[in-house]
Parts: sequence; structure tokens; C-alpha cells
Amino acid sequence: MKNKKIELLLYKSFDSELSKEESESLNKELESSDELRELYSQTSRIRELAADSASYGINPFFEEIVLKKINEASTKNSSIPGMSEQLVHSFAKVAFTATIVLVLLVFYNLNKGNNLSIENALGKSKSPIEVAFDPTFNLIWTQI
Amino acid sequence: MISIPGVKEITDSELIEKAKNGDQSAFAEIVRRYKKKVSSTIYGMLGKCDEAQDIGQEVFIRFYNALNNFRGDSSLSTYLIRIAINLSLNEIRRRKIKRFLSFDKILEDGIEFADTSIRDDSDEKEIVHKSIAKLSPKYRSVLVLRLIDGYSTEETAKILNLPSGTVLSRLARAQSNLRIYLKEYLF
Repeated sequence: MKNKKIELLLYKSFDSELSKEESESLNKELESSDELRELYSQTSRIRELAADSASYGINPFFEEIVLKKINEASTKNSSIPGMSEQLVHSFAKVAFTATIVLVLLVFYNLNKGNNLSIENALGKSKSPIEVAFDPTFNLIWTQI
Repeated sequence: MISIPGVKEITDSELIEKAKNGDQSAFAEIVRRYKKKVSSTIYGMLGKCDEAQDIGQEVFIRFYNALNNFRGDSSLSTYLIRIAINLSLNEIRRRKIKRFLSFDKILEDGIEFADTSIRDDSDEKEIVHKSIAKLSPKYRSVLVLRLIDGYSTEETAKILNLPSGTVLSRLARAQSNLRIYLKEYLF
């Protein structure tokens, strides 16, 4: 097409309203130019075919698949706890285990010491710290 | 859309509100209403391919995840088609990279020669569809929205976030390229 401006005007006429001047100028060219008339008819044909070319097959269970995917994703997300949640969860386990160990130790101490005092339950020794660290201390002390 | 006489049809915004409150049947109704439009846009952009269905579903999943951010500034249709166009463009980009890596890429002044071969026994509709798939994405998107999906020039401009003048010039270029390509087969 030699006249690019008229060609653009022709395309524009399909998608937008032309001004009076533009319309007159296009009609004048259409009357005189075989090439422009051919372009007009080809463009019209292309547009018709394009409008009719939409061919697609939608899965009959489209909505169900979408909802299933959404639900799967939300289940997956809810099953992955955040770090704080994980810490709280872990702390509860650690605290519970520590309590059981403490109770067992208290019973062990009470049983071994044959005495129901709190010191005995908590494993507190009546001996001074020196005796605890050096078993020979008492021996030496009594000898002196 | 089926409308029963005497029964008030639920509007898109009512459905969105219900979906925001966790009503999945309301969301399913949104999908039912717009699946055809969304699929039409994706098939127009990508042509017949295995990924089209998945991308169609992805459009609605993305919308569901962004439900609380949807303020209704644009219509639901515009919003969904915009997601569909963006995801289609992502897919085209992904294919381009794939093609580039397989050393099979040819681009030429607005026309992208993809591997959409036209056989001798192809019908006119198929030829046009495959030719549209050979246009570069920026021309393809305006052509699909305007000619296949039937949006007005203004609506197309709104969906693509472009000035109307740009849409018109891209449409002209797209049709011109399409005519060059189809000359061999149709005219």
C-alpha cells in the first residue's frame, strides 16, 4: 500500500469512530483505489475469520478442579506451621519430658535416701561442698 | 449465564463478598461465569496446547488468593482477563527461553515464526488461528482481546493498561502482519 496514512485510517475505521474529515478522505480513496478496496475486503475477511476462530475445549469439571487445587493448597499451607508455632510446640514437649525426669529423680532420691525430707527429695547433700568434691576429706579430717 | 425468571440474579460484587467470607459455592459461580472468557483469551494467546487448561485454572487460583485485595476498581472481567493475559505472556516468555535454549528462535519485525505449521488440508479457521499465534505477543494480545474476545478498543486499552491510541496502532500493525502472513493461504 503506497499511502500509509490511508491504510492506517482504513484499519482505524474498524475499531474507532472517524472524524468527518477522516471519513470523507477514506471514502474518496476507496472510490478511486482498487488496491484500497482489496485491502478493505481482505481485512474484513480476516476480522470475520478471527472472530470465528475461537476454538477451545473447556474441561467439564473446570470449577471442581479449580476448587480442589485451592483446597489442596490451603491444606498444604495450614499443615506447615510458622517458626513461632514450631517453637511453642517443641517447648511443650521439652517441658513435659523435663517434668517427668524431675519427678522420677525425686522418687529415686526419696527411695534411695530412705528419708522423706525435701533435701533428700531434691538430692541435697548434708555434707559440705568440700566433702562432695573430695571423698577423702572426711577421712583426713577425722584423722586430724 | 442461566437466569430464572423472577429470581434475582446475584451480582459479581455480591459473589465476591460471599467468596471473601469463605463461601466456596459463590467462588465456583464466579469461575462458572468467567471460565469461557478466560479460556478464550488464553487459547487466543497460546493456541491449542496442553498448558492452556492449567493456565486457565491458575487464573482463578490467583484471583482466589488475591480476593481480599480486590477492591473493585476495575470490573471482575477486566481483572480476570488481565491475569489471563499476564500468565499467557509469562508462558510465551517461558517458551521463548526454551526455544532459545534449543537454538530454534527466529524473530522478524513483529512476526514471530513459531512452530505452528499450517498443513495443506487446514481449514480457514485453523489457518487464521495459527497465524494469530505467530504474531508477536504485543500485537497478539490486542488482536485477541479486540477481535476474538470482542472487547471494545477502550476496554482492550483498560485491560492492557495502554492508551487507546496505542491499542489502535497495534491493531493496525497486527492486522497488517496477519494479512501478509495469510496472503499465501487465503487471498
